[in-house]
Amino acid sequence: MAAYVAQRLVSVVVIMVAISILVFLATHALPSNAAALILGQYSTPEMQAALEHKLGFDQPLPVQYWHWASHMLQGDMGQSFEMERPVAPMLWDAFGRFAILALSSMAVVSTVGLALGVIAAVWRGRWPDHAASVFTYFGVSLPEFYWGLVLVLIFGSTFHLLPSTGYASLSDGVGAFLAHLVLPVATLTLTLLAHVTRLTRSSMMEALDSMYVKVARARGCPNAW
Amino acid sequence: MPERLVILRHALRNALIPSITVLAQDFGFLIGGIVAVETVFAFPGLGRMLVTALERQDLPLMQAAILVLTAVYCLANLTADLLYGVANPRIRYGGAIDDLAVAPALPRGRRLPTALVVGGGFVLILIVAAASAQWIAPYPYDQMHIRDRFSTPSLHYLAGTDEYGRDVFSRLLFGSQLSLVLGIAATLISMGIGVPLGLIAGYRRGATDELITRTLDVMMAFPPIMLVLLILAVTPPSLMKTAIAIGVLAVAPITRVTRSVTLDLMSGEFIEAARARGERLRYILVRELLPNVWPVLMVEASLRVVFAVLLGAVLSFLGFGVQPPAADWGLMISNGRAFVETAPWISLAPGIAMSLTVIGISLVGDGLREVLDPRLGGRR
Amino acid sequence: MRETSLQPRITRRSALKMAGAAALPALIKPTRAAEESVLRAAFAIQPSTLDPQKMRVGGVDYNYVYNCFSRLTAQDPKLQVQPDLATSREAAEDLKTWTFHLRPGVKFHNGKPLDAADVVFTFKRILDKEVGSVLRVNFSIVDSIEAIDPLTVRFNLSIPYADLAAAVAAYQAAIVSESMVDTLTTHPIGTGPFRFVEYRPGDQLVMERNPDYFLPDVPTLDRAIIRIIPEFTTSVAALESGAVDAVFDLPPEQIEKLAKSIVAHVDEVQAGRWQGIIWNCEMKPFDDPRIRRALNKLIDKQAIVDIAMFGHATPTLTPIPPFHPYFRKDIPIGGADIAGAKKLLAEAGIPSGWELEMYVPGNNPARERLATAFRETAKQAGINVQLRIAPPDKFFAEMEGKVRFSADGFYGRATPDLMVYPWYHSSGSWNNTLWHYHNPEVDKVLDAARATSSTAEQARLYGRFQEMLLDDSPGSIIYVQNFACGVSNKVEGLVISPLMLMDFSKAALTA
Repeated sequence: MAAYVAQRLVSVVVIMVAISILVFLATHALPSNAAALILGQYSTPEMQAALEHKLGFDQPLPVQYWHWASHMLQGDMGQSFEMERPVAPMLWDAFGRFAILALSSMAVVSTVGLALGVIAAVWRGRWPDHAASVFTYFGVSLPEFYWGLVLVLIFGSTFHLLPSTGYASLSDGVGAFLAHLVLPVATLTLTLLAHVTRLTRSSMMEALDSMYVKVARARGCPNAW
Repeated sequence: MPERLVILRHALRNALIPSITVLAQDFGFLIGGIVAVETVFAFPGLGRMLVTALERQDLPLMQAAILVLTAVYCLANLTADLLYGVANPRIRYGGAIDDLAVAPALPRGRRLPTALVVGGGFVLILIVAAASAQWIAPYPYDQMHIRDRFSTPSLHYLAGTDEYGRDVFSRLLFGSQLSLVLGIAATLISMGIGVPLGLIAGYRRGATDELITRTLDVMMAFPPIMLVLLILAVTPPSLMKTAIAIGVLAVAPITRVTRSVTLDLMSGEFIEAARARGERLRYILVRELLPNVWPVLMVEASLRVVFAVLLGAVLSFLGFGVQPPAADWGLMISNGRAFVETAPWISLAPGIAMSLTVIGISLVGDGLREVLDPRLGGRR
Repeated sequence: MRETSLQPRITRRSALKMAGAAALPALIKPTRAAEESVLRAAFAIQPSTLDPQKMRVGGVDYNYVYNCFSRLTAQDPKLQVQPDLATSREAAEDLKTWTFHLRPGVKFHNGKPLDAADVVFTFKRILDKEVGSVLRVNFSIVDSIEAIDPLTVRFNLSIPYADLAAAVAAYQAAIVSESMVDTLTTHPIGTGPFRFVEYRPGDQLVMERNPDYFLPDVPTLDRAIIRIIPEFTTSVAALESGAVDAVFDLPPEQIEKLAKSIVAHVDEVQAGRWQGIIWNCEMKPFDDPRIRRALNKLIDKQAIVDIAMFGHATPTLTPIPPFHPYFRKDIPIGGADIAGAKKLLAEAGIPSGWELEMYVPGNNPARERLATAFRETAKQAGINVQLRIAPPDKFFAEMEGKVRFSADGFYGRATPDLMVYPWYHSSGSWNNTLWHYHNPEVDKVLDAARATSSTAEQARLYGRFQEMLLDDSPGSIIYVQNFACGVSNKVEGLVISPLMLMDFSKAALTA
């Protein structure tokens, strides 16, 4: 087991290095002229060349990659071209919020999905099963922005029950923070529910069946659920 | 009564483990969904930051955002694999991970014909509509009737008109062509590249296999939406480019599935027999392996088509997809959202169409799975 | 609380549900200090940078600068020049020397007093090539700037220029201090009615009242917050539920919707922002004047206003807007002349079915509708227009001025000279990047207009200019669009200016 974990960790590191190279190459291969973008349309080629030198764009790619990668590892993500402020604080801010949304969605999807799957398996063939299937099928059949808009319109616009924007900082109060999260998390949950529910349902049914078979055999007679 | 509860509890314990591993896998879809959700709800998260960086071509921000998101995705995959390793004893003792790319879909217990019939029916209607759009559509897809704009559904305009006075129903019909083309083209591309790769990897084993699998790992380490956004942010979008981008994205799962099935088949005697006969590689691949791999591929293909249609819609919403005035369903939903209270049919009609299409194709996939792959379909 | 359906019995569960639902709104509204009045305004685009001289994006950038910084002069909603940091000004007879007298006692937000050296520094910065300010070309007429004494600044121009006072009211000419330049993008310090507090990209920009502001009783708010909400469905829903107090720059679809609201209203003014169809006169076949005339004939401006803006715009002849005194009301703006266009195209040798790519900067449904409407008319004349919608920043960096046919729009400018010269004079900055139009007659008229201080003469010259463009133009300026903001009924004194400004300084919140 330990060997397996170690092997996977090593492969993750290798993959991350490969990805960093890919990302670097891809973004540098973009046709746009970064210096022209920063300096604006009245910039002359000399100005662009000067800026490119300042930013290190005239050095060979591997050197630039090395600069970038080594800075990244130290936590220095460079400076935003447009906003001219350091990337790292903005990014980690945004990452924190993203993580909250992602984790709460995963938590809700897990609980609801597992619960629905179990219900569907236990009452298989009857209406809870069919209702769960229909509900999850619909959830997954439309893109998330569609559900998001529907939810905003119903809960935000028409009934004013929940805030339509997704974010309130914690300084506004925990209640506000959580309330603002409800709709986005609900949207994400709707679209991810089907997969979890169906898998839970089938593995639950399989487990149930095998349990019943065991019990029946122990009793010495064939049994049906 | 108590006996039932006991059974329930035991079953629960056994059932939960594979479900938990699936959750970590869903993280990839979650990342894709979060970008759209952050936009709709003005949630200032990493997804939003990435899209803004792509639009404004802010290089350092782009690079950092992509790297962090990919790292998170990798971590999630790693967690999934580890959990799966914990759950599955074979892994603990050094085996390889089974491919979970072909996810169990249809709830067992539903009789085979229903899914295939119902789904097949939808799909058939869709194909007929798409093929005959030119003849059955009451109006051309871009003909504007300005005086009649925002009309409610009526006999003249079966699904009402949009903000230009174009007939929504006709646009639905023409849009079915676009969705089908997108779904099929993307899937054909992914299969055209993925199947041969998977066959070769599974057949050859050794160094070739290692190389292909490692490349796949890197490709699959990117959250799906990222790859597509990168490609489409670089070149002006169009239907074909979107199809290619999504197709390339899907190569990895197809290759994995093909490889996995090929590996299974390799233990069969008929391969040995063919080799003993001295058949050439191409013959073995095409005449012996391929026919046996097809069934699973069909099921996977249906998943891929659905994925392509939905991803295409999200891309249209973000502005990286098909261009107006094309009657693309995703674009119609996206453009119609500004009018959703005064003229809801503009978004609703394509929404229903997309929903039915996705459900139909999914049902077909599930039905096919039961017919062609009895191991997973279940004897029940 | 909305009515729930009739229930035969009130069960414990339903009672709990109702109690919970009633409590929900209380949980959602954040508790604020009772005395603090905070205005939250939703903007759809985030600021590009906090550095005034480097601003490129209109709208949100300008609104932030207006509140945190001051300029030498300002323009009121009637476009009249008012004093801001400069209480008075004189120009020499030849209009080549301008002197501005600064208001005494103005302090930056960190306490440093404002003096003429700061003004000189700001304008030197504008003229600095490395800073890359978009104003640089506008101020290229400035030979030198000097601080005569701590409260007096003198501009020495290379040519006579009548409208310098209006030109220095540009937002990018907000006065900054040399000692604070380094923190300009992270913690900007200006002299405006509000002090910068923090900016979280993608989220919000927070400003607080400047108690030392040089005008008395201004501002009335304690805080003003700019919230970035990209999706108008969301921001309008937030306005209706009270989560924000204003929404900036409503698109026409939302104007209709908010008009019916009971908690908010729409303030709409005619503004100078224009949208047009651009053809590059240096690229074939647009170097042929017949084709340019043909395209002009294909444009039915009023119809496009209806389709694209649902009537919330006004057709115009040139960037000089219809509400401006110099606008030629007597020139009719007619419909499309398809037959005439076809004839000209045939004469110029363009075959029917000509494929024409039209590049359109995205994120603007009205502009997409404009392009689509044009496509329809063009089809009738045998032109097959292919729309290419690109993300705006990509369009502005790579396509604007480099493709032969596009749709584009620009924010209004302060004076007719600034509205028109950069685009139509041969030496104009926009002319040479966008459409390369060279007409010596037009040059003469524009040069004369900027050198005269007589309003009557200017009116005559700009009137002539508008006439000249009827025959041959490098593009069609289709309409100037209204500027509309959604404002909560609880807000008083929020002034909406045609310069795309929401003036927070005199705004107040009623209970």
